[in-house]
Amino acid sequence: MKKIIIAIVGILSLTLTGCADFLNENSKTNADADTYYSTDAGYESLINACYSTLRDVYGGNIEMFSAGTDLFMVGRGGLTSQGLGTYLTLTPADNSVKAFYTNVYSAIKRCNDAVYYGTGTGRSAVRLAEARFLRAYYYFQLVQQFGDVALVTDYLAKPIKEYPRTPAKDVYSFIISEMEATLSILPVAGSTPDGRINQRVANHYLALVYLTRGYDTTAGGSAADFTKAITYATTTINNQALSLPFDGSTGIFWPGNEKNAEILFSVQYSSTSLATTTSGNSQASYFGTYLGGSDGATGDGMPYMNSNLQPTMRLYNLLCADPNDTRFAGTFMQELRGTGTGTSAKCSFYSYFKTAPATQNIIVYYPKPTATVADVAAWVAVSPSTRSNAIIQYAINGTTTWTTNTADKAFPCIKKFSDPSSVFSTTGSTRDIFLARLAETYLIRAEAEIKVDGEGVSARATADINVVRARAGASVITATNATIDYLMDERARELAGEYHRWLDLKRTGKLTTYVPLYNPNVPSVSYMLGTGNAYKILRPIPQDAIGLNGVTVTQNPGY
Amino acid sequence: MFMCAITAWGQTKAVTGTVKDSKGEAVIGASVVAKGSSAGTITDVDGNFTLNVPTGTKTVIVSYIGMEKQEVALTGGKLNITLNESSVSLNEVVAIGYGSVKKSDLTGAISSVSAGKVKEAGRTSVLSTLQGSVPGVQIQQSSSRAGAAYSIIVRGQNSVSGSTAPLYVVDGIITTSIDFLNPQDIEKVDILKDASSTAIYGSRGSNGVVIVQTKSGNSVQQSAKTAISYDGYYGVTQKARMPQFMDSQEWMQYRTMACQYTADANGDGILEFAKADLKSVWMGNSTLDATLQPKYANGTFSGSQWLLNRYINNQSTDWAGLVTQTGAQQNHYIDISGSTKDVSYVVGLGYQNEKGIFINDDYSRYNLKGSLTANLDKHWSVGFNINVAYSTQETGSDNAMLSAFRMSPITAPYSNGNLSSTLNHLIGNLVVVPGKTNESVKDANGNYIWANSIGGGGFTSSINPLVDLASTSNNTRKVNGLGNAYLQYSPLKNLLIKSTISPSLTTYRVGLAKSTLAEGNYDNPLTTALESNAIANVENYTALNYTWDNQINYKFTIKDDHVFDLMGLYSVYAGDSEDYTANTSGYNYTGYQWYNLGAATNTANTKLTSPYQGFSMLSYAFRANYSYKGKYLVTVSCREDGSSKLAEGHKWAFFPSAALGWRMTEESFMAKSKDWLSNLKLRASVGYTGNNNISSYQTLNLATTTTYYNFGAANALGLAVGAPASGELTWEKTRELDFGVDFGFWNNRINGSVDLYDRLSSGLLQKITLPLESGAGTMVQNLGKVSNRGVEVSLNATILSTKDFTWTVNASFAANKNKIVNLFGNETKGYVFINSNSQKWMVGEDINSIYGYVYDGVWTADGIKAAIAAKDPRVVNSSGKVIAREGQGKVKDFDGNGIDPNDRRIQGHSDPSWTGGFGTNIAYKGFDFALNLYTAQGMTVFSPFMEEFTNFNDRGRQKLKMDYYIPAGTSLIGSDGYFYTTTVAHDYQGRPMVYSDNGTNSNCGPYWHQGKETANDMPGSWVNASYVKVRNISLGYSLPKTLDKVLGIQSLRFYCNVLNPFVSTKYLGFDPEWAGASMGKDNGPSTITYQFGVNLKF
Repeated sequence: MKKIIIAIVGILSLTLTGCADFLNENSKTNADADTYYSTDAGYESLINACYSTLRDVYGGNIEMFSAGTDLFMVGRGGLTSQGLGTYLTLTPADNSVKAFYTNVYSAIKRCNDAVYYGTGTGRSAVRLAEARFLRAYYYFQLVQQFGDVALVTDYLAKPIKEYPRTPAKDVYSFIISEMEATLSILPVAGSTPDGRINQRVANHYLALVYLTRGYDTTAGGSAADFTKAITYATTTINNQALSLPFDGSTGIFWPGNEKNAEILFSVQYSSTSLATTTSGNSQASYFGTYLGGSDGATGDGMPYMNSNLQPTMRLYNLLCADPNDTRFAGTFMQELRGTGTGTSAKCSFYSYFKTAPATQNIIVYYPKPTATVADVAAWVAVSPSTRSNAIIQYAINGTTTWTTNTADKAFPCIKKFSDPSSVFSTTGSTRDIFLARLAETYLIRAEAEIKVDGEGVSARATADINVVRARAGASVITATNATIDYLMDERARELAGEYHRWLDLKRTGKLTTYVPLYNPNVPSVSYMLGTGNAYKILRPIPQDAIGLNGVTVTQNPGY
Repeated sequence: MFMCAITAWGQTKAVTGTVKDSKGEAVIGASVVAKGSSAGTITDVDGNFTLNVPTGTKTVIVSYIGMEKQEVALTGGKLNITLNESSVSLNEVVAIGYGSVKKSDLTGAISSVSAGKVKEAGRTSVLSTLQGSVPGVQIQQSSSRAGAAYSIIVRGQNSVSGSTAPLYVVDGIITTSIDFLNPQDIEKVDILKDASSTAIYGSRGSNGVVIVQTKSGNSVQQSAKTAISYDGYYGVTQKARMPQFMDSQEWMQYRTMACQYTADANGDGILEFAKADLKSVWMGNSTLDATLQPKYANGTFSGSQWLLNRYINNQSTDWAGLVTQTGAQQNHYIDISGSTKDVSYVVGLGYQNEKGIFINDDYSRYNLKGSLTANLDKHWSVGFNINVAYSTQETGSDNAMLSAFRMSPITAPYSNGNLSSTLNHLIGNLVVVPGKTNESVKDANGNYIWANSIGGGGFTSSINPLVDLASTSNNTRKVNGLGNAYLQYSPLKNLLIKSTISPSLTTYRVGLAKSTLAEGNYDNPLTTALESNAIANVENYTALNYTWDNQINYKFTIKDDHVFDLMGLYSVYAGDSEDYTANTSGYNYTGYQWYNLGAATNTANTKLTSPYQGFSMLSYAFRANYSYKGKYLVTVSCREDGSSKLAEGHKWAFFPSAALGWRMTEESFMAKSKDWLSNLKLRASVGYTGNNNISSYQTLNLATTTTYYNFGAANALGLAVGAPASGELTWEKTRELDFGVDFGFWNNRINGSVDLYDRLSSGLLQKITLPLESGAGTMVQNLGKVSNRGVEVSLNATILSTKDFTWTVNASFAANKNKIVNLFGNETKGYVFINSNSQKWMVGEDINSIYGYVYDGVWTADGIKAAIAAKDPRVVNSSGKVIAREGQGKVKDFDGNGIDPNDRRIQGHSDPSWTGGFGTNIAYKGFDFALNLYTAQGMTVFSPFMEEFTNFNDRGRQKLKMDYYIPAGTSLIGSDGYFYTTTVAHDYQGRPMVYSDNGTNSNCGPYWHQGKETANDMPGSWVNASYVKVRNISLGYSLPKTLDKVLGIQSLRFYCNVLNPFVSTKYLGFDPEWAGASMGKDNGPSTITYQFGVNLKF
């Protein structure tokens, strides 16, 4: 009996603890990263996750790109951080700045993961190149907003406390070397854009990076950068004309037309790739007046405007400078459809995209600021039965203007981004966010050409600007107009509400001149002066970033 | 192998005798065994025995639980044996983990609680019975719910983020909780407090160890007659010591104040009405002029007549009374035990039920236990133990209690009659939203309860708690099972090799169902065809783990004086859990509860989770006890633990300990004093223990984050790396020093012990935020140190002891000082806010410190005038503007520059500075009386109760009956409903005035409750929650032994017991013990329980 018992105990000992890895952990609920990312499917999903960071950076708060510019002022709803709209109260404690900083570094961390796991055998070289390019792209975003930033390119294997700032010069070198190194590995662009980074996207951004650095000699920029920018832009354009209309149901901004031939790079959305119906993007909600709550909608419905940003009169004026320019009508919703009369009438905003106009009652009409009473009468005469009861919201109406009126439906909203299929939510849009499109490449090349050839003389810049103008039906310009100021006007007209304006002003050095001139929130350039009498050009390094960092961080000028 | 035993029974002779105790009473069931043989018997009801002993037997051994064992030489004649009661404090056997020692040989700090003490307390939870009886062990009840949990902290909180719960060992099995045990099943509880004791549990010992022995075969004496015992009681529970709340008139007067505001900021606090505000006071319309009397006269009153009538007649609804009831409890436990020569067994069966004082609050528990031990032969023995508990708990609505206490007394739960045809908000005649103006419900006279056709407004949107109660079910059923089976081999005398396997199972199901009428879920069912908001959630959890201990014990003596007791252990522990949850919503029939999840119509909201967690540990331990002549005692132990949860290369840690004891009274030079100083022992120990109280997989990189994207039409779901792996994670370690003295005077008639300890916990597991540039959020790291130092005293005394009369008292005292020594790697400064309730961790301060502005009373009319004149920066800002006013709360300005965050101070801590217990037992003939008292002192608690019920920001909910500052000149309503103006200021109890928000200031000034400027600092909610509680008073009567004989039973005792009869405290809320509990379902009235019980043994 003893022997039997001893035998049993012996066997038990072996079976229960025989494995040397008894203390190893095996998570069944979540995939082990090392194992999962070494499979093709796993690595593909990590790359997908890298792309999805674009939604984190661009899908929500957009104050870092559009607020505090000549084109957009603080709306009735206010900003998450008023400082980005007014400069006066912009401090290192700003939540929007911190959110952007955090989101971009989270995105970079994910790309670093992808680069780390991409070096194993059998990983797709193309996917690895996409991750590297995306990382360089994010550093380009950071260096424009913050100047010197910590350059983190390693996989996070253990807690690191110290992240010293890397000089902008070195950050630019990293961006350019990564973008150029991955260029040839990336695939050539397909016939329709699919949201992936390809050679065309890379060429476009190389042109933009060189153009941007060209202005900034402290960051290693030089005149040679502008020539490089022209070369990369030319490769991107590849003789493709702007053949699609700006406005209208076949236009580049019509809902459903997001995958058009002019789009180079966009943040992708679809109704089936959202976690919830309200986890789309906010672009459609930002630029306009408050239209009312969900009970103010009827018929085909309306967007939930957050009224955080409001177009300045400068944007309206720029867009109606040329009476034949289709971009005023293409940018703004001039006719608010709905039932009933008065500003509290129920609104059927999306009918514009769905139903022929003749059958629809107009509740509010926003004539161009240049329109005369006769123009409006002519508009009514087209269909008196549906238009004669419309409230006419004039831009300048004796005592009030669009920009000082905070009432519901007081001024026209930007309609370029409207998503008639979305739920009533400020974060429900499933339209792609265009980050780069061909018209912009033309304007990038024109800008570089002006920098190389000189202001008011460049024939090739004139030609490039005219490509963009001609497509919109606007009159062509002559070389004397080919100045940086005119180019900025043209960028405003073409790209209003796309996430470029603050970066454009900062790049071209126009921030301190344009903003006090055109933005009512910043009546004087002194509003942009901060600590030490320095202008708040760069964004502040967030207070929390400084507090958590183990090294002493020097704050940007002005804060 | 049984053969050899039988052959020894060759020839026998009969021995007879009688066993009595020191008082001359017969000892029934005493064991009598022939020394050197297995022959044995037990005494009968008269204490007589007859035993056939093998010839040649010279001695019999007589033993009985609680008596000193005696060896009696055979004289040839009838033996008259007197057993002495054992000197409990010294010969008591104490569990020390993987073994036991006599208390006299103990070197560590271990407290024991016996079965009798546990039974006497009459509690439904084991932990509750320990409260106040063990110094240094702080036990608090969390609520008055049936089956409510208890928190326990041994010698102060030593972890900032890990769990503070001690390790529970039930019959050698490590478990996470002992709540499932029936107190009647407890044999003994030993609490290991110092590190030299707990180090044998190594990595899991740093929070203390609670070792519970349930009744088992091992505790049955050899050859005992079958004994059947029944212990049971029935009790009723009533809510007690209810806080004083406002009645209708007081409440409307408060509300009238809260709807006024001060027009200007010149320091004058006179209150005025805005038209709209006066309208909202009485649910009137906006045409009501502020100058008019609120009372209806000549058609000028346009508020709710119903409301005004209720006010004038002071009709108040006792909302709390509507949702509470008299609770009931019962506990029955039957225990059958016995043994033959080689086999002993225990079978137990328990049933317990508590009907709570809240409606729909019910807890039932069924316990089944079995234990068997058998000697196979001289060397081998086996045994097993199982303990299974099945419990069901219904907690009803999470919100109903809170809603009931919040509902203002002037609202009414029932409507007497008509209701609007379009807005049917009645269920039967229950008003669904009693505090809402748009109810459009009429009273019996046809008057609208609220003035008709007023939109919005109202007192509160809370659902009628009676409706909520009927609309919610929250039900848990749970099975706890633990068992062990062992095989023991004893090749030599005093050498034991034992292998024990102990599986343990916990499984529960939690179901939650809410209809659309439930609070938080409300949707008018008549306008919504489908119950689209109805929810049904269910969670199924199963955790299974096992411990496999292989243990070797060897005791030996060298030259009679050197006694060694060695123990070696190899232990394997592993377990895992599965947790399935399904949350669904949208039902067209709510009677399904959670039993038809497939019927959910709102499938987009269906949420399923099924996480798995596994963990394992390997351990090696060694312990040596050495004693020289019983004078000098040494214990050395060490344990090496490896845990799967920790990082590769950091998994293993070593936990050593050493302890010394010196029994001075055994020294010859102490012989003279022995007649008065019967025992004096000095103890000193040092040890290291650990803690790995973190969840599994923190050191692994996992692909956990689901991301969403698409490329054109192709969806592109992604999985990204989740929280970064903490690649260097290792054990929290606690170093502890303990010095103790055990003493006994006059043959231990007075005895006790004093312990001083100093514990320092380092490498605390803290979740730290990484620099933003890492892009990685937070990571758990080993940072931080916490110190706990304290003293513990326990004292027992027998004041009187005669044949008929015994009087004993016992007392305990414990004080602990908690201090954060290092936070996030910083020894000199540093702090972190824990939550919005002014709790903060600061280096050098208690973990549970209360931090914020120092309240300094109210600005009186004279006081503020003087302050304005003196340009006090609290009152006048730098541009000369007056920023405070009469009646507003005032806080201290330490640096004279106005109120800024630097004026915040530590104002106490929520853990007690000291706790104490006191008990006394008196026995006279068959009667026994016991009283137990517990106190916890020096607690400053953030009280959610006070936050809720003294919140001047709110004017729709019930308030604590309290006075508040009223500036002269303010309009008040009298009980007749007419306004009058106060002529002198009323200044009561230092509470600020109640006034409304006029856009520039918050309701009551910033320094009472959550004001606009200082949302984290609410001095009005910080209270002294110290208390003295009489835990129970019991009176029992045991039938005389002579009567027992007639009835054929061994003993029978009847008793009654009152739980929590008296509480003394300054705290104004429900019960000081749960003053810090959040105002959810768990915070409710204090109770008194009256029990009647029986202890019966056959």
